[in-house]
Amino acid sequence: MRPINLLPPEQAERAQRRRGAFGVVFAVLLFVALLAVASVLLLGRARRAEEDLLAQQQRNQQLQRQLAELSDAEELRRAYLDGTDQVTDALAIDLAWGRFLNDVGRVIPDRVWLTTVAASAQDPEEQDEIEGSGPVYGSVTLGGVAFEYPDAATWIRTLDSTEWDAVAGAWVTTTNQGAIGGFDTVNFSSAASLTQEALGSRLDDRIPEVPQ
Amino acid sequence: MRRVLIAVLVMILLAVAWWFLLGSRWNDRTEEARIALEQEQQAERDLQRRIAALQVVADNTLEYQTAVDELQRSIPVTPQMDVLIDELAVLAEDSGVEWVSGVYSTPSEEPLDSGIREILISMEVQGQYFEILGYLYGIEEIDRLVTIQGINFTSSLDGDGFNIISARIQATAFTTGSVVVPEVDESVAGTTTTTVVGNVTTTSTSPSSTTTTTAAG
Repeated sequence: MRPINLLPPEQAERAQRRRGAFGVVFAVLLFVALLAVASVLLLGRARRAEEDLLAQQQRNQQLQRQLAELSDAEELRRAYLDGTDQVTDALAIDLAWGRFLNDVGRVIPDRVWLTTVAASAQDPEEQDEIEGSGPVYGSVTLGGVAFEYPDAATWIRTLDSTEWDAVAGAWVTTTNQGAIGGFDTVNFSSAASLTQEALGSRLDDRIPEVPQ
Repeated sequence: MRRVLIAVLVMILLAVAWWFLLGSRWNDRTEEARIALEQEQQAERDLQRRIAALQVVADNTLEYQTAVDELQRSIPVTPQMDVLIDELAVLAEDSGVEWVSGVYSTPSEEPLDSGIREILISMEVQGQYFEILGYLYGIEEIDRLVTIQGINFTSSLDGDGFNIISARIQATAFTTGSVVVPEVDESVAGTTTTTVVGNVTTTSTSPSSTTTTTAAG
């Protein structure tokens, strides 16, 4: 059935405008309410985060107190770590001289003997590397006497052989004829570099192991 | 339609004002708290790690103290040259070499990175090859940490026809302490001159100009 409105059309327009105004006000109020809800949520989130932070800070303060109670242990640990640093620093370039000279005695061929040995440690960063043998940790010069030239050559071959890894880049610097008690001899001098194999292992022995 | 537009405009203005006045501030608070919480959580992990490590030290104090003592015997806090010379002398005797001479520097003024100072030592020992070899092995074994930088061997025959090697050893000992060697002020210390004429001895010290004359007999 079709509705029949007998009121004047101006009144109907006013009523429509009023409804429109209410609708707008209602929409704005609804929006404000939404903002209020969002505010509550955001504020709540901020407060929860701050409460979490506070709780964490309290836990950390407790741990700090626990740490302070272990100050003696901290001091002892620091002394141990300082000591190991110092020994490591001191043994940065530590050649095993006893083993080196023992090897000299072991590899020297018959009919050859040494008269002078001079060796010194060097900083590998200041030396050129030897191809195939790596960094140079020292140098050695060895002078000696052989019965004949081939004996001196045998010594150079020994010095340069792979049998003795601690020495590389061997070179003969001089050979000249000499005599001992009426016998002809050959005086020679040779030089070589000391490789990583010449380093000692004292660092492992010098740092006492402790439970970590 | 106009009202709707105005309402939308008002809502946009409200939203913007709300965000700038309240929303962003709360959001920043949350973000700041979250970042601070992460840092505190990282700090907690570090603290727990340190506490765990220190607890191990506390539970093994004896082992750590022994290790520290051993390390300090290797590199003492004072030069302790008396102990070092004692050790080297005993070693020389045990290995059969003759300790001919020793020259010792004061600890280096500039410490190395780890704080240790070098004491340079130049020694000369004599003996047979394997005796000197034993001495060098021994230096590596003594309590005090001594490193050898260079060796120089020369051989000669002794009166009995034995081959004797003279070894010059350049070594370094270490300490964490330094010593201050007093400088001798020549102008204050002065010089002492002794003159003997016949049976009269005259001793004069300058610059204090003290002269003592003694008649012999």
